[in-house]
Amino acid sequence: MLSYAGALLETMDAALADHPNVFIMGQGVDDFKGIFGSTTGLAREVRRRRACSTCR
Amino acid sequence: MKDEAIYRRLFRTALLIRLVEERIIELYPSDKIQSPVHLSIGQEAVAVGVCDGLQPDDLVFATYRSHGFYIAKGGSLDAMFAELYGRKGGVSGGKAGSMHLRPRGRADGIVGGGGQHHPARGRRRARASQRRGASQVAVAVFGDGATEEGVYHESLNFAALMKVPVLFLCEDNGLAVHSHRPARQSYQPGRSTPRLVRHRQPPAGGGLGHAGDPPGHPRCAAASARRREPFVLEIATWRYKEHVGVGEDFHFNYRSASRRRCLEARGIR
Repeated sequence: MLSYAGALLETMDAALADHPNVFIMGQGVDDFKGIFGSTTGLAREVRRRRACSTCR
Repeated sequence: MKDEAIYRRLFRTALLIRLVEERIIELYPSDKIQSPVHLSIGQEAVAVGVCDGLQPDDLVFATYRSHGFYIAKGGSLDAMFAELYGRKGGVSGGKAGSMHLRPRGRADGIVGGGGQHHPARGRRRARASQRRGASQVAVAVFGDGATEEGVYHESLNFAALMKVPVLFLCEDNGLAVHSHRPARQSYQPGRSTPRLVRHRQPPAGGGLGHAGDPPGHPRCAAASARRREPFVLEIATWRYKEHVGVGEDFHFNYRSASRRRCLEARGIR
C-alpha cells in the first residue's frame, strides 16, 4: 500500500518525467532525507536543474 | 587563561549543558520524551560565553537548538525536563517542548523555535525595552542560515539606525540542516550586512575564556549593545550530533567526521 509521502513522491517524479517545464523548488528538496520520503531522489544529477533546494 | 575562577565557572556551566544533553540521549529511546530534540553538544561554549556577559534581566531569543542557552541563562532543569516529558510542571506547561523553552513571568526570557525570525524578534523586543527607558539588552541568536533571510538584513539596518540595544549572535556551524554554506551563500560570512559594530570569532575557543576582554569578547559585545550600539557577533562553532535527534549522522556522508577527530586530537571533547 502506498503511503501519503510515497504518493507525493510518485506524482512529482512522474511530473518531472512527463513535462519539461515542471520545476520543484523548496527547502530540503535535495536533502538526503527526502522530506520524510516525499522528495527522495528527485534531485538526482540528470534533473538537478529542475529539482533544487532554496533552503537556508 | 589568566583567571582560573572565571574559567572554572564557565567550564562548569558548559559541562552541565553537556551532561544534560547526554542524559537526554540516554532517555530518548524510552520514548518518554515526546518532543524532537536539537542538541547543543559541541556548541555549549557559545551559549556559556555569551550569557556570561549578560545581566540577569537581559533577554535571550534562541533557536530550536536552545538547551544550551536555557541552561547557561540559569533556567530550571526540573522545569526543562518536565517540559520535555510533556508534563504540567514544564516550562510551557508541557505543551511546547524542547524548541520553546520560554520561562514566563521572569525578566530573563528565552524563546525557542525556528531561527529564521529571531533577528527580528530580538530586535523588536529590544526596541520595546528601549522605548520604556530600560537598560535591557536583547540577544537574538540565529544560525548562519538565517543570514540569508531578508528580515535579517532589515533587522540589522533598523537596529543600527534606531540604536536598538540588541546583540545579534550568529552561531555559525556552517550548516542549515544538512546543507553546507557554499550551496547557500554567495557571500563571505560577515561581509554583506549594514554597518554595525561586528566581530567574527575564529573556530577555536568559541566564546569561552578570553582573558583581557578583546574587542570581540561577548562582554564587550553586550556592553556595546547596552550603549545603544547594536553588535553583530559571529562565533564559529560545530554541531557534533545529527541535526535533530540523539544519534550520529556521519554515515549519511554529507559531512566528514574528520573535524571532530581534529578537535578530539587537541583534547577538545
